[in-house]
Amino acid sequence: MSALIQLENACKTYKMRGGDVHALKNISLEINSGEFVSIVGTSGCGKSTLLYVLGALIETTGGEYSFDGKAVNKMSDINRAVLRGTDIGFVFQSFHLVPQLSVVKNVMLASRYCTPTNGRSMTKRQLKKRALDLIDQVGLSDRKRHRPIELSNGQMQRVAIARSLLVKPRVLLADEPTGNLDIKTRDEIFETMKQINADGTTIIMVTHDPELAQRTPRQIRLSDGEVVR
Amino acid sequence: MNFFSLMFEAISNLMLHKTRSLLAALGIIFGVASVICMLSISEVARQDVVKRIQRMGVNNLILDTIEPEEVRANQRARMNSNSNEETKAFKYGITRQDLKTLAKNVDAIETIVPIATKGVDVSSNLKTANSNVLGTTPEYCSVMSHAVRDGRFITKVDEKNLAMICVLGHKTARDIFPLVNPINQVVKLDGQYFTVVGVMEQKGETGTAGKTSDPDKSVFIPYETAFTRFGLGAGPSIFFAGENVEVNRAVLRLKDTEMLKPVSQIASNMLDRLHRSDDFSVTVPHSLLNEQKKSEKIFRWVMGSLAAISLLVGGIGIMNIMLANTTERKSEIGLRRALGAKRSDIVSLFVSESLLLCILGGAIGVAVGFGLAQLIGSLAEWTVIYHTWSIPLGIVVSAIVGLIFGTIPALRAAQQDPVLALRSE
Repeated sequence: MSALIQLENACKTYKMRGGDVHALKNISLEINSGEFVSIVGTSGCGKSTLLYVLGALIETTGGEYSFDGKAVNKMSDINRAVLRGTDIGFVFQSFHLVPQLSVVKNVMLASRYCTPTNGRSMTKRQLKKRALDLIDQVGLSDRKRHRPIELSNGQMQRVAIARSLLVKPRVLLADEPTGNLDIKTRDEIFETMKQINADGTTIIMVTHDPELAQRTPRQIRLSDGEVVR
Repeated sequence: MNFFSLMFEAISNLMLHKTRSLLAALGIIFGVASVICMLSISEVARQDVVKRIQRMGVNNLILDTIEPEEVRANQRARMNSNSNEETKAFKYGITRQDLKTLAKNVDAIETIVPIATKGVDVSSNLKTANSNVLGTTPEYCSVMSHAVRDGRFITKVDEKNLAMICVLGHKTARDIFPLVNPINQVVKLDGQYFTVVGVMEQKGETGTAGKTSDPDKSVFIPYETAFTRFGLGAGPSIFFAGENVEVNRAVLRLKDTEMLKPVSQIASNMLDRLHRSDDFSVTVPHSLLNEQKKSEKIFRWVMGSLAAISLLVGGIGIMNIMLANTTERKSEIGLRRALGAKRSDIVSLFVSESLLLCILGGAIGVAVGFGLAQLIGSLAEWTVIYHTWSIPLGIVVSAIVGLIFGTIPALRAAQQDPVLALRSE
């Protein structure tokens, strides 16, 4: 396996009025293509910050970050947006579905910024077909015209997963994807994610659930902004 | 993402919040509507003033008799004392002798038409109307470009014979003879009987503020007959005994319009020498037109400023609503950024919404403005004038407002930290 994601001495410091907060301290790690990794640790240890750094939503304040050999920390804001639009999918704890849009429109929203000029070769028609296929795969084909308010939390998270997979990202970043779900639904979502990983998508999942983390092949433990061996 | 899909998305987003979108557009709607309405109405007023001046004869020179201050003071004193005793008549204003002197000494004058007026009641067998007797000469029609509709106008023979004939103005004829042909009918003017020999074409009011007259509500009689029968220029005025005015107005037609200014100066100087008091005025309608153009320019500036203020207020309304919109949709902005939206995509998203809102608001405003102008026009009995260019103007200006005032909230939204935006839910 080749290293898809490579962090070397990555740091992230927030400048606050009350003083600097070092959210990440000299983090070095490699994640290979096709891995399923969980990031665990106590609240405030920097799990989500690390995930957003990996998702090119936050810039590091030090160190190196490369994605598929490309230096993300040297990319322009536009190129990082293109990277997010084509190679990275996000799943959030609070789903982040647009309440006014139907299930299918929420899933299609991911195609809004993934144009052929962004490096994606799928046509609009292909994207629409894929959206419907993904909705079917997550078991919501009978709910595709429903609005998020008409769905359960588990169903909303499935919609969010379908959305994150629409543009065939190489990495799926999940921030506490089961944090708002009961145990049964949590397991169902986790099984869906395992299936996605089995299909070849790299998954990095932040969780504070040790039991769920144990089920992933690799865990990265953070404590006070540092990787604990 | 092309322009049309951007606009389609903007429509969808605006439709999600119909009431808020409508409220946001209200400022623009009423701003544009008021501008369109004011433009239409001011155009009516402008054209009315221009027509009034033109009806005076753009190539003519007008001499008007004005009541001097000493006469007014005397009248006030008489009213206060309630005295009934006969006093000496006040003679003032332009005289026939003045006009003869002008005609004799100024070669540039082609024709002089004297006009003597008096307010009277005119009655037929059936109806009575308030009118104005206008004693004048046969040249009135050609000098004032006022044609006869039916019958004939006053002739030199009528003048010579002091004929008891009259020509009715358009409105007077309609008021007192609504159903019959007025020609050869007899009318009573202040107790004296006149035979109607003609009816004039409709002309409309002439003159500007303070010096207006309505030939349509007049009864034209020969000048000499008026002078003799009504004592116009010699007898008492309506309110005060002893006023003596020979000519209320004289219209001078010049041979060459280039001579308007020099002749007005000469006439003014001559009358100044012949009159003791300031009892006349010289008006050049051509100059009035120029003055009207100047005031029109000032008026346009005022209108433009009002329009700018209205649209500024509308724009601020749009900006406020768009700011509230970006705050409410903070989490969505974070999500879109996570899905690969560039800052420029976020700017385009919100600018397209405000642009569309303002264009729609502008279009509705144009329609409301036209409707409002039509309503005011029908209430005030005006023929409303519309400018076709005001339609694209209203829409384009609204679009510019949308672009300017939508950009600030859009830039603010685009500058948000995507992670903080995601956590805002």
